[in-house]
Amino acid sequence: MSEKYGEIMEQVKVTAEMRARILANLRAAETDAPARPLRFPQARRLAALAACLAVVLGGFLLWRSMNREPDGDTAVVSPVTDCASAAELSAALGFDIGDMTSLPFTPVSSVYTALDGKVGQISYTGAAGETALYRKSRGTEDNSGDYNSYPDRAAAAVGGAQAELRGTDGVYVLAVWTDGTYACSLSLTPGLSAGQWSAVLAALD
Amino acid sequence: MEICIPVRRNSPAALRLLRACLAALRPAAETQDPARAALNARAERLLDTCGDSVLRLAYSYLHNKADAEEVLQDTLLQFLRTAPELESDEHARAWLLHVAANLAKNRIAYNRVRSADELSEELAADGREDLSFVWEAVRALPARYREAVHLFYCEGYSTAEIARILSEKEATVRSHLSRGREKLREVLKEAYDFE
Repeated sequence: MSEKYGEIMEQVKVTAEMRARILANLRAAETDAPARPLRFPQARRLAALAACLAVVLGGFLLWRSMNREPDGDTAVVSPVTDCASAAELSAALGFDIGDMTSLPFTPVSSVYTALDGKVGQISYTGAAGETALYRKSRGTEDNSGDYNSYPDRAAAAVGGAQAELRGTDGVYVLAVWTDGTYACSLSLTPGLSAGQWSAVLAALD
Repeated sequence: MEICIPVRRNSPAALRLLRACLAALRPAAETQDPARAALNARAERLLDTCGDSVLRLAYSYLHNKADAEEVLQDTLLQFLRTAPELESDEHARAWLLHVAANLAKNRIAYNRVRSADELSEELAADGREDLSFVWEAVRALPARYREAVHLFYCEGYSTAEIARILSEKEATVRSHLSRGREKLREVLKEAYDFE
């Protein structure tokens, strides 16, 4: 073991203030968590509270942004750029990213986004609320942003590569793959069986 | 605090107002779904038992307390949203570290990190040049070596456990740990104590 490294890390601790801040933020985030089974009267009350908080918070943020000195040690970059089409998105990223043509539903809306100029994202929504999120970036790192641990894994061919499917109880919601130059991921809601995923991925280049 | 509401006796509107006020004052726990309340309680317990570990791992990647705190918060948020089935506290700790490592790496990939390193500043302010020297050496390691070094030396995980947390092969973790040690030995020389 390293006593010095242990001593260094002893200085990084959850303080009482940090604990209180985190718990307050978790409680605030809980009000818009989709998994929470809300009864209607409670939802209505929370919605009213959230609206009031949003007005107060909005006012505070506006006031603060008008009065704040520039923060010298923070290098935060706006990560999102909206584009009008796959062609415009490809131009913004410097590599080709095309529309998905083999989705298991017919999209009624498509949103094209460049994340930090590095990751291309196309979000599709179907008439019945189905969603697909397709991402492509340079490199081989998983770019899905989905950190859930899925117990089921399977493989499916995509172009000349192998995609890894991730899901639960034989229903897969995520595919990630790379051709060695680009990393891609596709998330689908609702999920599909491995066979259905193969059909979706086989149609890709 | 005393609240006075002037009402006409037996007025239905006044009773409705009174009921609404009492409902608003009722503690949240009374109106919360029991399963959700249990999950929230477990998240709070995990913050107490694993918070330091998650914060330290995030700091080892990001070198900034505000960013590390946000990763800790987002990790617990993932726990609340996904409600994973974690059979033991050790399993929960490993799950939280796995999620935090991915969230931290994602932040680095998207350049959403601040530049201040409070630990360097605090160690320098405390006159602990010996620790400052070690921290700078660890900090300069490539992230893939640093994560293995951190989980091995700070959290006491075996290489097999680290491999599971980072979704890597154990041989890869061993190699990263070994190269990390080599680099630290080169830089730290007699101050090296990573054994």
